Amino acid sequence: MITAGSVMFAVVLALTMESMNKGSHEQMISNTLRFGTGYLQIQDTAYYETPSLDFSFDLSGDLLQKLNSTLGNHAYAIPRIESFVLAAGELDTRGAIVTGIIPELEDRMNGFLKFVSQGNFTSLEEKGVFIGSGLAKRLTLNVKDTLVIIGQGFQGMQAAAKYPVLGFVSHPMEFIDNQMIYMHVKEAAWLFSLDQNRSHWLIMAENDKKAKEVKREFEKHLVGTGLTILHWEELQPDLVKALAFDSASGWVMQIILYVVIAFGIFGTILTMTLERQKEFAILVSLGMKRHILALQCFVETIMISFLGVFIGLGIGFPILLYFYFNPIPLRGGLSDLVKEYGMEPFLPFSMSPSIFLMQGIIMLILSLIITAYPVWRSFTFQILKNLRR
Amino acid sequence: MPIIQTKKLYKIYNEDTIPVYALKDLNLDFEVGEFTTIVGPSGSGKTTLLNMIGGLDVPTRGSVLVDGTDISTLKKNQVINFRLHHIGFVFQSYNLIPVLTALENVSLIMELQNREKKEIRERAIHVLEEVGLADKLNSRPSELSGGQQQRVAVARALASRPKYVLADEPTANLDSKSAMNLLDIMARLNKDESMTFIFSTHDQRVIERARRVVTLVDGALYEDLKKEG
Ligand SMILES: Nc1ncnc2c1ncn2[C@@H]1O[C@H](COP(=O)(O)OP(=O)(O)O)[C@@H](O)[C@H]1O
Repeated sequence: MITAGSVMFAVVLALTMESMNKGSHEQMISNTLRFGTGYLQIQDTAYYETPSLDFSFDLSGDLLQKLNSTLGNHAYAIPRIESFVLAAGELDTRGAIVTGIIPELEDRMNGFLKFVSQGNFTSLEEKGVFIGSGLAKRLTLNVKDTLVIIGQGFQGMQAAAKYPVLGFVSHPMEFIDNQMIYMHVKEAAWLFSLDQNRSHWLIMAENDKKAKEVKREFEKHLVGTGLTILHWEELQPDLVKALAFDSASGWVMQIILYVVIAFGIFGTILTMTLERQKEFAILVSLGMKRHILALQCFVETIMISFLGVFIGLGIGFPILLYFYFNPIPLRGGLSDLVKEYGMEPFLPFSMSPSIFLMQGIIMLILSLIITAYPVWRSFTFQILKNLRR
Repeated sequence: MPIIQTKKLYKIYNEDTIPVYALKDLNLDFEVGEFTTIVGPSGSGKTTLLNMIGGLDVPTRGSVLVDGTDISTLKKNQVINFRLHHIGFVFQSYNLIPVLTALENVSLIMELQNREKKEIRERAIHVLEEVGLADKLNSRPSELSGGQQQRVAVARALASRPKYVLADEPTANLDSKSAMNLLDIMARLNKDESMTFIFSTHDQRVIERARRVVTLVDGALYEDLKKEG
């Protein structure tokens, strides 16, 4: 019973750790995808190195048709215009990023409406901008004030205009909150003299597997066009590296945890086995064969471990589910740190079924290894010595 | 033919350092239906002898023949099987399985022998009745007195009808009343079931009840006394 209890406790612990680890990764990826790169991007081949509007392109006609048929119902494409500008209020001037979007697609991609803190987002169809609330504060701008944008358009053309501020966007990711100026993509095209050109296209898919399929499929059509389609891992190599490093250190922690757990369980099995030495000796002296005794020990330990693992999974599931829907908020310094990395200040949990499967299997393997002890013991203990205890 | 024979039986501990002769040149025959006690001072080799003829230990030299078979030549599993089918054991400290009831403890050996369930149950109840524990079938060892536990142990040893029952100081942990009671039961079973009993003891009153007294001193035979009638 103590053994089942320790197995159970171990499973819950390992589950929680892995869920937190994986949860923060999933969130980092999902944030990057939804607010940054998308799953895939179609770009000019030079754009990745030099993200200038001069490398914008016109995706229309034949190629767009091919793209749409490749995407089917499982994915969709979003045209984007992005460029650095100077943004000025009445008193101050700041560097900012103009992002040309299509409001309903943006909302579909990342639930953008949730982050609109003032103003009516659909009004973005008109001439006007939504700006990050942090930027608004720096420029001391209010809704209905005028924002002046000065930048450089296509091939060195002057890009300057005045826009009414239609509303604010409050977002936990700081680069959005402090730098973003959203306007309709058509308006941005006019501002930067891009005509039908767009700086890049994002592609959102149901999942990463679908996205990779789209990439493989569409790549063929881009040969010779001077365009390329990039996966988010190619767009964010630093993120991939950081995740890999984090996973590795996560694994080290996990292994330490497993070693501690294994010794804990082994301890209970050890005491149990030693306590029952005399009983084993009696059974063998009366005529029970050692391999039958060993089998019995094996079955017993495995049953206990199974029980522990399943109860552990059973207890772990609602706990993780709770934290999944009510992530632990981070406070103070940690919160700021996380925000700097562009994440929301919550400790997210993952409910990926692979966690439950992995932890369950690892624990079963662990207990299987530990079972070797009582089995070995059944074959080797001395009858006479243990009868006398 | 005797059921058990020991031939030039030696058991020597620490043969290569300071040898201890636990058994020295023992030549003994035991017949079917005997009621024999092994006596002698502490350390004289009684336990060692019982372990030898019970197949729990192997001789240094010489042999133990049971029905003409030298049991020291058997393989490990064969010895276990031999014990299971032919020998009943009663230990000084009862050695019942604590988690099993009296009935289950008594059934255990027959279950290991793969006998039929109904037969096991009937036989187990029968022997428990014979040792006077008909009302304790479902008690666990911890709920029984020492004397009662040892009676369960005797019932367990007997239930599978082994060739002989070995008991190492079966009364050593019992008060004299329980001891005499146990001996009465053993003597009766010796007669009713014609079961061969070989047991060791210190107790003078127990020795008086035996029909043959084998005395060991320093591992050697000192006296072999057979009473008539
Ligand atoms: N495992 C052992 N190792 C060494 N000496 C032993 C061992 N077992 C018994 N002996 C010795 O063998 C002798 C006989 O012991 P034992 O058969 O237990 O005597 P008894 O049962 O008559 O008291 C004693 O001198 C004892 O010290």
